[in-house]
Amino acid sequence: MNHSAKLWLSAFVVMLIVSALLLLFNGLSAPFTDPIDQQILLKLRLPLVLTACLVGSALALSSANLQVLLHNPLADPGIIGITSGASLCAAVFLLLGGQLAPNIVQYVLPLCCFVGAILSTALIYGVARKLVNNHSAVILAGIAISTIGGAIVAWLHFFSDAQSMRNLTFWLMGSLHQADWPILMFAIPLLLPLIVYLASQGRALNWYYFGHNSAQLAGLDVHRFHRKMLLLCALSVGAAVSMAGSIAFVGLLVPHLLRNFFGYDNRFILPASALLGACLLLWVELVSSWVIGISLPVSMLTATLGGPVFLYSIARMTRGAK
Amino acid sequence: MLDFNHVEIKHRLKNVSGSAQAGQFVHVMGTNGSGKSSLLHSLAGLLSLDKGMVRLNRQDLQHYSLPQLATIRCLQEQQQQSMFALSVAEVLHFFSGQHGLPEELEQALELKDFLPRPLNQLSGGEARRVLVARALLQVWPAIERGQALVLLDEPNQGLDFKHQHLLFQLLAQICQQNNLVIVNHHDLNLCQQYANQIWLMQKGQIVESLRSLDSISNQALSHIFGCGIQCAIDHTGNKIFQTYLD
Repeated sequence: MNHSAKLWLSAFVVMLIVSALLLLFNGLSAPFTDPIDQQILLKLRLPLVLTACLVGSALALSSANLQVLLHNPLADPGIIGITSGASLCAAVFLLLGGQLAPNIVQYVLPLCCFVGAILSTALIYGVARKLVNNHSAVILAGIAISTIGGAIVAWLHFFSDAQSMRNLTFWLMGSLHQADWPILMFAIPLLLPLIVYLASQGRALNWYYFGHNSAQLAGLDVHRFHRKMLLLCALSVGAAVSMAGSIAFVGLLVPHLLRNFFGYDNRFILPASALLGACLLLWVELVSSWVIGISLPVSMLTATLGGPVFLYSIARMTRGAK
Repeated sequence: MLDFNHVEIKHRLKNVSGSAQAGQFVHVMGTNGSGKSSLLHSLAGLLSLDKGMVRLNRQDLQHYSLPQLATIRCLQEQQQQSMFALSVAEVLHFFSGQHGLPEELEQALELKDFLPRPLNQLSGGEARRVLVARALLQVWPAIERGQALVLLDEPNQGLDFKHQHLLFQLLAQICQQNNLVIVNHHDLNLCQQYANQIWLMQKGQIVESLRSLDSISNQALSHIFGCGIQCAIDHTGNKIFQTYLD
């Protein structure tokens, strides 16, 4: 990694710290001696900031990895079906087990998502293995599984009561306010090492740009690496979706934007995706509280802000290609 | 340096054996589907064999670790495309770990002008020059030490005449540094001009192993390639091959 890349990474770290502090102390006044302020900081803001950082990092980083691993710039956890597997399990639980006590629902739901993400990854991988040497196989399998998942959720909607449907709809729109300390106590030790590990695989992933053979010729055990990375991406997406529901677009937007401005070196793109993904969700929460004053579903904002930025990014790329 | 015995891969290679020494410039020739690319992939350790063994420096290829093998052998494949718009400089940097090009490579392949351009926007010949450079850069330290096995699958495809000669001169020079270079292509004249070992392939087998095309008759060549082949002698006394349909 060259000197300017290191400088940019440092700038992203500073940006992340500033954004996190802004959200942490947003609307509170120093010196925070008021017990209510302290409670807000400790019980609401700190979990919110940590959730935004972990979820944003995990989604952007997994997508950056998946896009190269699957040779498809469009791959993100939503498109290849990991998110829909998680959503399906969550939907089944919310609609069928929604009568359980709310405090049980709060902790069983993330577990269901997690199991769903892993199961859908296993299924996608199983289908894709039957169609080896076809780079599109995983994507196609993912689209098929997403469609089936969507159909099952639609059938469940049909048979569910109004309250369960409302719960599910809000959950599907995503929220960073669902995670509290007990969930974070599981999520932090799981996601933090995953994020650090996934962000450090840039050198091997750089060999992947020209496919499996080229990576193997460069000295990588591709079958092992491929399986391991798919599993770790699924784990991190599963954990992220468990914490915050289904959040759209972060995974597609962040790596594309970075590649557009900084090139394709994954030793930079991966850590930068993790940092910028975290920043993006922090900004979404800040915008939500500054402009609108209430906390809106995250997907609504990521799609509203991300859509135009993504279009700009594509326009810039097409201009560069001429 | 390299020997392979009774190599078999279903539908591709049938009981292929041979050997090559350091310093040789081996040209593999044959019709489409005769097994040239499969042979190169097997020698690179990229294909698993149904039978037989490939040994590099008297050691079974399977006993090398992948990172160890990557430092001493390279393979430029025919089809190498990326869905991403990587620049030429990035492609070369990712696979060599170093910035900049050795002088010899730049002189032969003339890449400097398009280093900042995306690889997928270059012409076929330009892109091929980049992929050859990428393969050579991967083992460049071993090439300098005279310990490399360089495998190139149709490296001259799409190259203009000048760059074909520049490339083959560079490869000949790499051989003189005691490396083993094995290329496959479809040009009998380049083969005549540069090869010091020739493997002619037909239906998944090496049917002739020669030092020079002088030692095989036109009829035998015609039979292997499935078309008429005749040669003329130029003013320096070298053979010039011409092909035609019977």
